[in-house]
Amino acid sequence: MDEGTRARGRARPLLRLRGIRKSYAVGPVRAEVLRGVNLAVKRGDLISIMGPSGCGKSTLMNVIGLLDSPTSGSYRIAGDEVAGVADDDLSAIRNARIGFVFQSFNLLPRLTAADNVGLPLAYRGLDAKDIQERAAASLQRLGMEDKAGSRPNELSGGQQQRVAIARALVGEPDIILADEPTGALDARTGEEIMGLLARLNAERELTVIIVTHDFAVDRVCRRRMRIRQGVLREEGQGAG
Amino acid sequence: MNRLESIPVAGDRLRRQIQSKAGALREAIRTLGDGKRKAVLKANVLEALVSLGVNRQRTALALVGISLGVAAVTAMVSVGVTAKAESLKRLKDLGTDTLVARKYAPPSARQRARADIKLRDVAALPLETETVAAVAPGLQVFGPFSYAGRSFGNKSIVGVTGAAADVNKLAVAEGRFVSDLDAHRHYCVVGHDIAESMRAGGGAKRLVGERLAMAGRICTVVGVLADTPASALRPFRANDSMLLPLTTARRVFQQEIQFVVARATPDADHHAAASEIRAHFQRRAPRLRVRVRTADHFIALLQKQMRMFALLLAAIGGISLVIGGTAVMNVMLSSVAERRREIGVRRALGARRRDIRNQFLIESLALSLAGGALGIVVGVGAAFAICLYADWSFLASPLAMFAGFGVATGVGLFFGAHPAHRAAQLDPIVALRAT
Repeated sequence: MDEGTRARGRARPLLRLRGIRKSYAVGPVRAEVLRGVNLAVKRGDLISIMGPSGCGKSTLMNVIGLLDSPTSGSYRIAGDEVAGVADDDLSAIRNARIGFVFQSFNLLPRLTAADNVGLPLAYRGLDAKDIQERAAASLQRLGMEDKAGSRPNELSGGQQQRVAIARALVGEPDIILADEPTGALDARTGEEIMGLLARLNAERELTVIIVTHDFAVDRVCRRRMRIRQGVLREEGQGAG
Repeated sequence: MNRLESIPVAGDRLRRQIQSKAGALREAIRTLGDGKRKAVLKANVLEALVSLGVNRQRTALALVGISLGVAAVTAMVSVGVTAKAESLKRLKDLGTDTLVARKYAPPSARQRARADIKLRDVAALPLETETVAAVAPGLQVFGPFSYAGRSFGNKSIVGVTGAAADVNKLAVAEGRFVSDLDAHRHYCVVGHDIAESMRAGGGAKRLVGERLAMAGRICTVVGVLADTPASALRPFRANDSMLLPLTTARRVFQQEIQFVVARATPDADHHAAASEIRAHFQRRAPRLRVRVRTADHFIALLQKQMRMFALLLAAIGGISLVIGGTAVMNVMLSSVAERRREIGVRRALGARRRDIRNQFLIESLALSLAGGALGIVVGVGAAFAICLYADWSFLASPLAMFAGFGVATGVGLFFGAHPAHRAAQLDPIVALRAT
């Protein structure tokens, strides 16, 4: 990316959600989970989204992660409208632009750490050698190069989450979506993982959105969002 | 009507507009790789094999079903190919110019008692017809046989004339054949297998001149037949028979001529020869009924026998394949159910629906092909056994193996399609929530 594109990228938000609504049919009535969410995410943002259970947090994450499509509204990634795009294209966009980090790590149990990390690249169609090299580099970045050949059940929770983050980063996505990334970890390991995400955000200008219940996580983030009854509002700029 | 038609058109236009925007992104992504996703394919194949090891019992049932089905199909094709080759070979052995006339027993016993095939009528055949070149009348009985103090049980005893050597294509390995000059003498020529067992029983190396007892009479061996393959157009199994002069046999066993093996003249149409033989006996012995069999008839019989085997195998194969296929579907459905979260994760990481579908199709293919490989081995073995039973020479047929693999592939794709489709259609959000 040359300086010109980078500058344009800064001027235009990386993600822009406008008037996103999402409703589900529950029996005869429709339940509206998102009621007009507006959000602009710039490159390099570190955002936390908090809210009570059932407030639409997960739905919003699914919409941002292109796993769910909004009922109405506009969602642009780097200027491209993605609402209503065909399923195969959504897969390709997820693969290229979004890295997922889950609460329960979600590493595939039968694959080694290196193979887990290489998975997004395999779906991108890279050849095996290329995948191996990039997966190894990604594991190394997270200090997990020793565990490349280990299977998930041979790793601790913190180690698994590091492998999962390596997997999220391997495809060099524009944005990391983390759903309760510290939820299954003890306080100390959780802090470590949060520190890691904050560091990646700072060093690599990586955009990170975290859904969390954890105020410790919330405190680390520069932009703090609250979602209540399907409406998102910004709490204010944090310490950063 | 107009309004109804315009709606999908407008919808299509909208979709195209949206897609063209996504198109640019998609193209950019495509250029990142070669689009072939070889790495995914390889990983899928390896993983499929591992995951099949997890559901051992169900996998075993599927394997057994598929392999039985494929075995049946392989055997069926094998038997078909062998039988075809066999009928050609037998035709070559005896030739299409051989015909067999047998006395036809009418329903009424009184009539049967009167009419027999007379030697003089047989002898007149080549003289009074255009199409018959040579004849060999004969009769066959079964009687106890012993040699050098050992009993060999009941054996086929055949009365023949000297012409039988030529007409029936029998070669002598030792001594000489039965001659028409042996009239009424107790001389015999023994078949290859009988000679072997006589030697094995402690008898002389050279059997000519040896004496043996058959049906209570002492006979002197004058010759031993060479090994002769069974043929439908020879009314007896030469290897397992003892041949006597026809005159001796008629007197000793109080039997009349039962069959006449005839050889048609070169270039004669064998259907014409058959009807000429029928007409000949009709003329000379009006009350006698003969049935004339040609090579065609025996080949038809052979094919009927083969069709029966094929039908049986097709039935077994069909049932096994349905059972095996259902088991494959069961294994795959439970595999999909157990790996819902994995499917969700893969979708989140960028797997398209068709990547997921292919992953599970590969898995069901791996299962069916494993069963198929097993089945081909069993099937070829079964075909071998059937050939032994039917006394055909076995032919390893590549066609049968291709058919086996084809069927296995077909079953894998057919019964794997539904589970794979289910996996591909899973909503990634629902899949990710699965425990």
